[in-house]
Amino acid sequence: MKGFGFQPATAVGVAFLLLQLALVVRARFVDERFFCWAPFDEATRFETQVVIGGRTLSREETNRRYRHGSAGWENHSVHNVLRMIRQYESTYGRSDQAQVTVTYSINGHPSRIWTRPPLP
Amino acid sequence: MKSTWTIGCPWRVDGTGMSPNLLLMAKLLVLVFARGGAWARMSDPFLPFFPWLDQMRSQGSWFGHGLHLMFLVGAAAVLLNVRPRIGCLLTGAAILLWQFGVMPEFRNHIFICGCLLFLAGCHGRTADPWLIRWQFALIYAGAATNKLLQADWWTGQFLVTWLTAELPAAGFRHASKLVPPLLLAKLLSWFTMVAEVALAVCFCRRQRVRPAVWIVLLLHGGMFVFLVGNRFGHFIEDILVGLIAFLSWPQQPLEVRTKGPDESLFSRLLRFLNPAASVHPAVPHKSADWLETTIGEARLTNGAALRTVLLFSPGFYFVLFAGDWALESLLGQGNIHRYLSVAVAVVLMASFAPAHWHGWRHLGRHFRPERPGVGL
Repeated sequence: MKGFGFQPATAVGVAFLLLQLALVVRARFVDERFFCWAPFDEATRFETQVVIGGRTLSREETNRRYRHGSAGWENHSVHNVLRMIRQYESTYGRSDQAQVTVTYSINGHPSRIWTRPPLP
Repeated sequence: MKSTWTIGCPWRVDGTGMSPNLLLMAKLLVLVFARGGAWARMSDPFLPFFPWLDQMRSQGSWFGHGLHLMFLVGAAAVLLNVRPRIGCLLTGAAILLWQFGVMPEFRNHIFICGCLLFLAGCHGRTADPWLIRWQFALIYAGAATNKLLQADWWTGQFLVTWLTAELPAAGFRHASKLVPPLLLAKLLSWFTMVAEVALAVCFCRRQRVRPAVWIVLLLHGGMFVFLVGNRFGHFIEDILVGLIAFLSWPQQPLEVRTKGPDESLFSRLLRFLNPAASVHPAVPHKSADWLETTIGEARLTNGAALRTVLLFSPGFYFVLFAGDWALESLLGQGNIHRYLSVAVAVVLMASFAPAHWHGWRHLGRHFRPERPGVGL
């Protein structure tokens, strides 16, 4: 392709590397671990429960809702799961007024509970 | 200069606008990614990492179809040597857009595929794959930083949980009969962190690429054997294929001299694995040697020559990939396939490691692209 030279493509490559560097630095200031090269740094056992209108969704319904497993092991960060849930419930699922509870244990430590919306 | 007859020949990596080793890396990454089946899951944005990508959602899933088309067209371009740099950019961009666009589908072993393909397309035809090298530096710098800042990595608590409760790993279980589990986990944790810091530092300088590659092989190869064939999706394949970028590929086609008739099975096999090489019977019958090749000023014979010829034969890698895929198709992803994979990996590492022993004294010497080394 005419004009597809060395320098513009290389500049794009450098820009992409700088974007990744920014995401690695960003990871130091947030809890989630996306695009920061943190694979298998935590072994978190988690379980998600979603209640809409007084009815608890089944495991399959929860899996379909977030396109992510509703129970099992998460090896990046449990905050990746929490971010997905927060983002879904504040966008696509806003009208459902869902009550979401995630029970999780990081690296075998005592369990913690996260809820959305937060419990009073 | 482009040779038209490499077009349409997936097993050729010469005569294009890309460095042969980068093109080989790209072809193998496309195959690894396609084999994993992830490309079929490319879709419209869903919970995108960048929220503005939600604007691309539509009833007809046009964005998703566009990603499929980008990947398929790019893959064909890479595999058939039709403007492979553009093919790399297309496949890499498709994968990256999908990863940024569908948060639940984020996987490091998929993201690294996209990164390496995209950067291969950004590379000119230079001997030093510095964009790929900096990508590796970034991977290990990010990984090391994350671990160093987690107390459970210093205490070994993560590995104890992962290798006993989540996996559980037979290698760890057996080894912890000799060493207390938490102590073993702590040693493995510290080794991993030290290795990743060393890798991040080494990959920053092209003069340190050779030791970096061996640390990668030790770290990930050791992990692969210890965990009996756990590939972490296809992360192990991605990293190993990525190392091909650092091979000092010969500037001229290999000259390979065999003993015996020109149409011997051995000669035909070598030509099949490397169609660009010149293979002819030139070793005298009375000679004790059965194979010779010349790399730069170095004359190699027999085992060393065979290892070098295989290392620079694209067909060798395709045969390994095809064989592994065939075994997985026949045996499934169960224990037999994993044990066989580990056995093959150990044999390959043991076979190729001695080929580089003579190069150890060259550690730290300046990179000389005009002198292709034995491997690295």
